[in-house]
Amino acid sequence: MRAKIVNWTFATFLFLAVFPFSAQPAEQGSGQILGGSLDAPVRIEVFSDFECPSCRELYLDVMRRVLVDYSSQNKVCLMYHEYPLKIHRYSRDAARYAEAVSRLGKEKLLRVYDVLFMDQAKWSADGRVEASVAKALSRAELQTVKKFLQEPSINAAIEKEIKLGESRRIQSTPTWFIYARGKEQKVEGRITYISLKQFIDSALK
Amino acid sequence: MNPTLRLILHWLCRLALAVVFIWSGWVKVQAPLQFAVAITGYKIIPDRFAFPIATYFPWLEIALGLVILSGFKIRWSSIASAALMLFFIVLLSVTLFRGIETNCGCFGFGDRITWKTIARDGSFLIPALFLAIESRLPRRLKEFRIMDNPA
Repeated sequence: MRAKIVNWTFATFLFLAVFPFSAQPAEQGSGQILGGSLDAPVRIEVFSDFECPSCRELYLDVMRRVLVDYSSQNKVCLMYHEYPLKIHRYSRDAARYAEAVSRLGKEKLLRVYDVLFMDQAKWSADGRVEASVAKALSRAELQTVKKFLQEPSINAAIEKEIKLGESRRIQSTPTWFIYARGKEQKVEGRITYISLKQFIDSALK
Repeated sequence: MNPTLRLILHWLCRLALAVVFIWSGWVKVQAPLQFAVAITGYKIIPDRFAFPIATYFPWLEIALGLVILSGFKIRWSSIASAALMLFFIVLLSVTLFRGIETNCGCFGFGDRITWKTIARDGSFLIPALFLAIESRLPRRLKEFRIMDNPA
């Protein structure tokens, strides 16, 4: 019996010594806030590429539902970071358009995100990003966006996002950072909405 | 077998298995969503079960590792760990045969399933089987001496 107690005590101490519990404070990053505010109990930051097929699925199947189900009630703050990969020919163009449109407000930005992801196969084949963006904007808005595109601050903003991604060791897109209950989780790849929903619901309890 | 060698092997196997299970469980406990992504990648269970399994299964691994380390019911805990390893090997092999390219999610989240992954998990069967067989034999060194020098 005594030997068992000694064994269990040893095992417990070893466990606690090797694996200390830690809670990392949530960090505030840059990026576009698509829904919710920074004081929401759960914050999700996504590093995404407009030309990446998994990012498309993630945006259309998961992010849009999170926006409707949680961000609209400020339960989840959803942030989007541009992370155009060099292997994708037109993703930087798309990111530039998105960055420029962000200056017209969140509503327009979300419409442009929708068309960029829905038309992904089209513009990633012919490079006509503007034609897709034009579907979501009026003619006057498109002209304004084109003016914004001339500004060096557009490229600078994207470079800043890329640097932020590199500092967070992004190796592929999509990569998520989820902050809840003072802890950070990095998630690479495509998560299903049901898993994310179960996680968010458990974090909100 | 030499009793001292047997004792050394017994402890080496126990420590190795305990470290494997505790480490593997702890990595997953820290990132249940990433583990849920890995489970979903196997395309073997409905999506709604991925997160609950990702939340609770790692604690089972940690508990098994601690039980092995403590030596409590060592025969049964080593049989359980051998069964778990066999399950992993079958699961990985089936996934590889199905041509699904996904992450193993075994000891981290970057390793793709290959034959190397299966061989690595297979190697952990050796200490589990050793402990399961060895724990059936008389345990104390004194008993060995009696067996070596019968009156």
